[in-house]
Amino acid sequence: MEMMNAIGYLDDIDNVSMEIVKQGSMHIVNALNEINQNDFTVLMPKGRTSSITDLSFVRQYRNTRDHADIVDKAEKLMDIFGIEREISKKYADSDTDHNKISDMIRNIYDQAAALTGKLKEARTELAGTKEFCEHMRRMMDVNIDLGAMKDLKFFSFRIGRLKKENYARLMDNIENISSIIYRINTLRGYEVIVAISPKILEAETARILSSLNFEKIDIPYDLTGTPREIIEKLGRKIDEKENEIKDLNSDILLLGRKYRESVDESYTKLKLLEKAQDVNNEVACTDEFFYLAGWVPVSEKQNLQKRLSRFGDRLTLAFKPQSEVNSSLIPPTKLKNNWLFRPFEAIVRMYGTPSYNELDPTAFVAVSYMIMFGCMFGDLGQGLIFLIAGLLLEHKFRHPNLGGVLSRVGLSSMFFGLLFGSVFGNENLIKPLLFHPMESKNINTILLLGIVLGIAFTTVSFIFSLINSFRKKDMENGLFGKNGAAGFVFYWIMIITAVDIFIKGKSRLPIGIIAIILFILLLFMMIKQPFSHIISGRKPLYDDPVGDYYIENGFGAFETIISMLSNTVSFIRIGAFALNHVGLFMAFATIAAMMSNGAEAVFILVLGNIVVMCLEGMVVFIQGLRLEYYELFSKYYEGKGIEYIPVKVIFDKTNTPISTSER
Amino acid sequence: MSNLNRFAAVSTKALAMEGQLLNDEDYINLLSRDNVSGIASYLKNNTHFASVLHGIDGGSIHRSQLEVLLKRSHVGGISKMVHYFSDSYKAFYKTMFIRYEIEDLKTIAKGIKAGNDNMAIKDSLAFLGYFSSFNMTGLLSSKSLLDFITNLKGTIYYNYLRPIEENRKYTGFFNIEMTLDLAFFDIFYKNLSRIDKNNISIIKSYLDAYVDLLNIQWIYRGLKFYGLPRELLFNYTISHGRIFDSDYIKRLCYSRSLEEFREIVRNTKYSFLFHMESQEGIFMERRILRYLYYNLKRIKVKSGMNMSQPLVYILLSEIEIRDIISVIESIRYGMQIDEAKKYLIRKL
Repeated sequence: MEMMNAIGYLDDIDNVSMEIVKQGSMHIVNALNEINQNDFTVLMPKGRTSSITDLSFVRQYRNTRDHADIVDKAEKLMDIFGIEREISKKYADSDTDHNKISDMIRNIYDQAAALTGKLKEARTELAGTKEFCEHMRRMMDVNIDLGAMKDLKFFSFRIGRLKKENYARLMDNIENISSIIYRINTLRGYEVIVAISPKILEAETARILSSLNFEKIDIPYDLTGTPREIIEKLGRKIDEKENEIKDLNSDILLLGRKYRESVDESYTKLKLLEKAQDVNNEVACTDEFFYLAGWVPVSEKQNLQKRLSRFGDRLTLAFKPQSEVNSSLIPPTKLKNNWLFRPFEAIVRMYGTPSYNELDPTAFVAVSYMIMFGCMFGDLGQGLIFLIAGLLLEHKFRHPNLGGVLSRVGLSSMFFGLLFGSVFGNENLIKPLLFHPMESKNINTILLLGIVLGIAFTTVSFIFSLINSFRKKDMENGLFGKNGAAGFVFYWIMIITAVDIFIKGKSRLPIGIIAIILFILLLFMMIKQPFSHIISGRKPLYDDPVGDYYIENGFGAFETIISMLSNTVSFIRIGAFALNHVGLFMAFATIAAMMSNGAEAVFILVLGNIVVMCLEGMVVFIQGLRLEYYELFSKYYEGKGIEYIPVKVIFDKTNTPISTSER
Repeated sequence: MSNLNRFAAVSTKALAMEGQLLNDEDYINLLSRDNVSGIASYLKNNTHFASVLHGIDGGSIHRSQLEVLLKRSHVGGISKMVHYFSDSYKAFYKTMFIRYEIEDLKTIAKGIKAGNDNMAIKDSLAFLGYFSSFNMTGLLSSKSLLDFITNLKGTIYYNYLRPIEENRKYTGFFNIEMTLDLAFFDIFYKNLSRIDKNNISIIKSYLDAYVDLLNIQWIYRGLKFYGLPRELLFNYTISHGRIFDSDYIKRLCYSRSLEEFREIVRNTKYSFLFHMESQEGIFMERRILRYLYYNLKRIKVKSGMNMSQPLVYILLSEIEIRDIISVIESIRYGMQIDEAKKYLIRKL
């Protein structure tokens, strides 16, 4: 990773940011922080000294333009025209000015909005008219001219609707109501009625009806005639409206076709500009210049330089390798793993992103986790199910991490299934390549196997720890720490001694000498700090008060012995869960054997497999994680890194707008 | 979820909060204060209102300010209890806030009618927002009824008020107020119907009595004071869940005189309303609230763990707020203590 600092003219800021987004590999950091820490490198272009003197007046850049409105309009347009929202690579480098884009989008939007507005109106009118037709249909046998009804001299005539409850209320007291109420239709919780009342009682009627929240329904288009005639006339109006709607729809379609390219292009550019604001938010500026900073992978450096070269003299770039940057600025860690190991990056990341100088533990985690899971879950059939499920999740349902891990551990389980001779819990279908774990002569073996695996993994952890300490130039912990050389030697001496005593009955060196060696190692672990400080000539000898140091490290030494034992024995669970797996299924097998007919037995077996897969699967998953994190990671892994999140857009051919990380 | 699970915690909470309410001694003390500041100080220093009155300066508080704080305390108490419920019970209890929101909406409507600047009363609206989210600027700057209704778009009230918008000619504030009140009961009973039938039946008698009494009160006032046409009286009665059916209500609405009205009521279990002639109008509300309280208390004692305890608290809290406001009023009008006592719902 190299740190890039850029200075340019403030007017160019959007264009520069967009190029960075298009190139898609820069991890932006806040420039103002850099400047405040005097870490901003300025290669002085000739005659541009003003950009340097300005540094004292620098402030955080604030984007004043509001893009959200235009993006919103563009998206609405795409919905109206039925265009898929895509960020297409082909438009990325076009030259269209974004002011022109705003105006264009506004223009098109106004046109489209006018049309859709008319469409909405027409549709509402149509619905209202159709509904009224329904009412009229109920009154078809009434042979009275409704228009004439409205013009009666002594009676008032209304059509309208009441909520069901209010209609009931009206009817409850109908004998006292000064109107004739005739119900013509019921719809959606409303009763549609006709109310005829004497004009002298009009005021009273109006009050009564309004107290029940009567809603008047006017005859559409002020038509007159009998209900039958009205239906006919309305029929014609309905046809008219439907034609109008059809025309409007095709107008919208034509508009869409005409502007499709423009809208597509605008959308892409707008989304790029939107993303560019993520860059701009971290930029510092003065009235004339802007100052930008970010990390760039070395592999992408040339590409980025080429892209930004189009700004020529107007933009100044400076690159600094990580070693020259202030140590408080940590470069982001970009993980690079091959296809087989990549899903396990998620497992590592759950604990913490690797620090920049650390070894990437992903490969080790992948291998060790797969082995542990496979051993604890060894079954050919169930492993196959996991494999298939994992592949589906990974490719079809777009969960590459969960699916990836699942398919890989599935594969491993299949392998161990072959070794242990287990197919869907059945131990008799195939011969084990190794042995059946559950057979009494093998139980101890499998438990021991777990421990052996544990020792192997722990050793690798120690090696990792040594390498990491070397990279960090940490002598104190690397040589004398309990996770360093001293601890490593201690560990192996204990193991070899234990094995010797177990197998041969005595150790290869007199036990006294071994005890002395161990004691000396423990002593080193206890005085690691002052000792390493003496060697490196560093003062003061102790970072903490002396008393505190010895109390802490005294207990630390004691804890070393205990934790070495417990960590090693902890791996016995690998064997234990392998047995557990078989045992759990045995229960189901026993129940199945008790079943009277074959179908029931098969059902129980299937049920058993499902239960075991879910239950054991989850348990083993968690136990594996625990071993990784607690027994192994705690030895060598720091995980204090920053994740590498470059600012970019993903150009796609599908309907997803934007994705912001490499995941 | 068994009743025990559902109600044990909230009943305990309600009982605890009930224990904090003012007692007789508090009221006597309040009545002996000289002015609003005195009342405010007493409440702040000696009662559960301490937290709500925390930031105010007892010396300079205005009457309406104090009232708003008291009201907010009441709704805040209900809020606390709503937390204990889930799904349909939660929805049911939340509808109580509607009643209070409607009070505020009516205040705004009255302000529009009187041509007042409603923005100025913004801070004295204690309840808006507990159930619905409002366009406050729009509402408070409405100059006409139509504006008012339009600005309620998006709230549950709009659906009920929409027909009024269209009946331009007879748009009246009266209509709006009555519609809102009836809307409350509509929503309330809709939410009630979603609750377990067993639990409803316990409090149903209480709720039905509540509706009956409100109807009686409404018709009485309509007959005595408003001179409304009988049909309108009838139309504005609450139809949900009442014990007295529409025929009965009709008889009340169409009674030829106030005396006939009283006779009809005297033959029912609500006869206590008209036992004594004097000042029946003024004391009707007090009698109603006292009746409801004893009714609810009986249910609580009889049926064990159920939803009545929170309702008891809510009722008592409301009575308390009303009584404190009565005390404030009585002090403002320079009433003697013995006279003032009569207007309290609580029997001192």
